[in-house]
Amino acid sequence: MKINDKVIVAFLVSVGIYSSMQARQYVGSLSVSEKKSLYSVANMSKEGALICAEEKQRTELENT
Amino acid sequence: MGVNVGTRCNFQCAHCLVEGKDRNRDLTRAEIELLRGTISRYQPKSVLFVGGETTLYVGVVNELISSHPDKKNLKVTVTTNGHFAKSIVLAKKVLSEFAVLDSVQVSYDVFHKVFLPIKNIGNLYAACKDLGIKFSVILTISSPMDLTLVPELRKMGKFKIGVQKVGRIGDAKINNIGFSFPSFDKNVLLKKCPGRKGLGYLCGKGFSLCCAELVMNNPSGHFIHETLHRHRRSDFYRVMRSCTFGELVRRAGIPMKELLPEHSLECVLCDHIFSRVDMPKFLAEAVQMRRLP
Repeated sequence: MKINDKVIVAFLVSVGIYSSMQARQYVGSLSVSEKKSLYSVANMSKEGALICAEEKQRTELENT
Repeated sequence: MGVNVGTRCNFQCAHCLVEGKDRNRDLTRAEIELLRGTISRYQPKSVLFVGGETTLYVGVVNELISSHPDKKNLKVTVTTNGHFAKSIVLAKKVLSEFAVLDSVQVSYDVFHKVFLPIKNIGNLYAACKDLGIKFSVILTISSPMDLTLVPELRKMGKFKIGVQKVGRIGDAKINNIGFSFPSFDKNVLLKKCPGRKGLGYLCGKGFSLCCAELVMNNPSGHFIHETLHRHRRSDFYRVMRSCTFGELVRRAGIPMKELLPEHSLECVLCDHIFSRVDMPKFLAEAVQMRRLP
C-alpha cells in the first residue's frame, strides 16, 4: 500500500467512517482519481475541521 | 434532551428519515404542555431542537424554552436546513427570533445540496459569528466520496463539520439509500446504543433514547413511551443503556455468519436484533440477567 493510500485509510478511521480493515478494503477498491479527491480531503482535515458526529448527534432525531 | 418539534419541511431530501407520508406532523397542544411540564421538572442543561425544519417552528421552540426555570444555564441548539439564509441580514433576522440560541447546526450534504445554495452556508456562518452563536455543519454521507464536498464547505468558512452515515430509515429506506460497508465490522459488537446518553421526544410518538427505525416506523410500545418517567423505567431503556450489541446478539441467538456488512451500523444491527426476538420476554430476561437497576 502506498503512503497516500495509508493517509486515506488513517483519515477514514479517524473520522469514524470505517474500521482499519474496512478502510483498507475500501481504499483498495478506489480509482486513481477517487483516491486523489479523498487524499485532498484528508489533508484538509489535518486542521481538525472534521469530527465524527455520530455519538454526539444521536439525540438529533433526524437527518434533517 | 432532544425535541423533534414537528416533521414539516420545505425540502424533500431523498435520505430523510421521516417518510413522505409523515412529513406534516406538528406537536399537538397536549404534547406541548407535556413537554413544557417535562422541561420544567427535569431542567435539562441542554436542549437540541430538530425537525422537520426547525425554523418553521420558532413559536413552539420559544414556548418550550420559556418553561425552563433556569434559562441562564440552558444551552439551546437548533438544527436547520439553512433555507432562510439568503443573505446575512435575513439569517440574523431568523436566528434572532429564538428566545435562547447558543448553537446552530446546519445540514449540508449531497442530498441537501439539491435544495440549498452553498452561499446560504456562508451567510449563516457569518450571521452566527456576528451574533456570537456557535456554528457547525452536519455532513451526512452514503459513501466516503461524499466527503469531497468538504473543500466546497471550507471556502465558506472555518467551522466544524460533523460527519454521520445515512441509516436506512424512512425515505432513505424507501429510496434504497444507506451507507455501505465493504464487510461486517466486528467492532460494532463492542459498542452500545449511540443514543444512550440522551433522551428525545419524537413529535406524535413519545419519549425514547432511540431516534432510529425502532421508534420511527414501529408500532410496538416497547421502545417509546408517553412520559419521560415511564421511558426511564422501561426495560428497553435499561437494557440499551447497559448492554453492548454483542451481548444483545448473543442473547438473541443470532449466529455471527448471519451478520451482513450493513449490520456494521449500530442502528441497522439493533433493528435486526429486535426483529428477531419476542420483545417483552427478551427485554425482561436481559434486565434480569444483568440485574439492572
